[in-house]
Amino acid sequence: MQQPLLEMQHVEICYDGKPTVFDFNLKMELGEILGIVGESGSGKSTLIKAAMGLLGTAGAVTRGDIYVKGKNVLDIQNDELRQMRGPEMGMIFQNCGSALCSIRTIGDQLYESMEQHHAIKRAAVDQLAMQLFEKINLPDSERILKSYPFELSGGMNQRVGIVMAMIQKPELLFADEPTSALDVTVQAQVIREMMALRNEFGTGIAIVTHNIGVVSYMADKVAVMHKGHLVEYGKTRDVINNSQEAYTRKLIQAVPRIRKR
Amino acid sequence: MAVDGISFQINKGECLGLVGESGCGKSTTAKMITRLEAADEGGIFLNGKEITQAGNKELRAIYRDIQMIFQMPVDSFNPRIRLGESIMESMINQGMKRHRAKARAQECLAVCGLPKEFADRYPHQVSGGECQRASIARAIANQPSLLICDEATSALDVTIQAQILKLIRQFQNEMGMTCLLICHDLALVQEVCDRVLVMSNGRIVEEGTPDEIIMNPREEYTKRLIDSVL
Repeated sequence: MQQPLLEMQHVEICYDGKPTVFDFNLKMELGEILGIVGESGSGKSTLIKAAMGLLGTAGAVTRGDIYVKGKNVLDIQNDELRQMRGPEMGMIFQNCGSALCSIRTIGDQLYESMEQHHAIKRAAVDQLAMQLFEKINLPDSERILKSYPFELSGGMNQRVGIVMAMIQKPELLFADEPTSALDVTVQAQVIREMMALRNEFGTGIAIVTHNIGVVSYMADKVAVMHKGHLVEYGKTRDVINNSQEAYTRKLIQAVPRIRKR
Repeated sequence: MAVDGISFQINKGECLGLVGESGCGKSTTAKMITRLEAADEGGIFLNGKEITQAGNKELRAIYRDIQMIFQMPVDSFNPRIRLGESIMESMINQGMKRHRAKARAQECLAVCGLPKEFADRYPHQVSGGECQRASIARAIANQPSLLICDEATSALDVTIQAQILKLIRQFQNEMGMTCLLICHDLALVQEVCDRVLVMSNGRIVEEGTPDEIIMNPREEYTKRLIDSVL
């Protein structure tokens, strides 16, 4: 049997001894897109940070296991985890600008992240990056590679972060509100590009968002979180159109729907 | 040039939506109306009176009529002043006595669904949604005739957004307040606005009722905006 891409079993996560995620179970197959929705403070981001090993010193997984392709990421040493981050599992942050080094150019940082994992020339990295920048509507890509993060707008930096995660073509991509800082037209392009990544390279994507439109457009399965608990989990169609939980229905009803024709 | 020769009017009691992509000049337009930004050319009229060049004294009177809600609620409050004091400030500026302003601030908080204890909290002690409700309380304290919402709900959860929209609609019904809603969520505009302006590159490219624009977009940009709604 094939190993699931991501599996969480009875995961409990605490911040400073206070539990924020309770008994969380989840299974993602290869190439699956999972949407995790919920209000702020429901523990969505905490969950994917735990899987990436990025909880920091205040947070800890106090119970349960998280497996990425059969490996328990909670038991892995830092060195090995560092090897995995990038080519095996990537992450797009909500505010990518603050994840970039402010005193080095975008091109330098992209090259560094690539040459850590692959034997690749600078020119090739630049070429790949420019193709991706074009696709998500960031023209003038040559200038962007030569720019420092502070010379770009928030939305541009966000797209740089998206490219930086996507350029590695990870098998598992975590995305924490990747498009909230972006304009709607750009958001649509980024979402389409993420779908293309899955279709071309079989990337499994776990996307955390409060945008239910995005989730119903791209996700195969949806997990609805409320105050650290998984309240509903299932196929997108079932959860969005035929929800069994009052909370999910409340969440969906709160979203204004556009009426076209 | 951020805004290039735009002309429009908002009628009393109307809710006008202003949509367009980031950098198209929506916020600059709002800032010019509130005089946070100066217009280089043209005129801005409030109730028929020109306010384009109004001085400080006149501005104080204008701010009784125009109030604005910003995108980042926490950033729009002074971090070292309690929310209650911030809400009272504009009323005191209008010459209201302190104790009356205090009572009115608590009244406004209650209208926005916050208990009066929130008056004693600092902006960092409340959540984003609570802070945005406090900023609405501040905006309505003087019973403005025009309320400008600059992406007032885009940083908030959908459930909170629904609550805030309900509040704005309630003010329109009860006080006949006029509203300028800057937004890039067309679905939301369709739900609350009477009329919409679409901006692109500092110009107004389309105007009409939300249904007209969404069902029959004429401009290429508007079509793209509609297609982007997932």
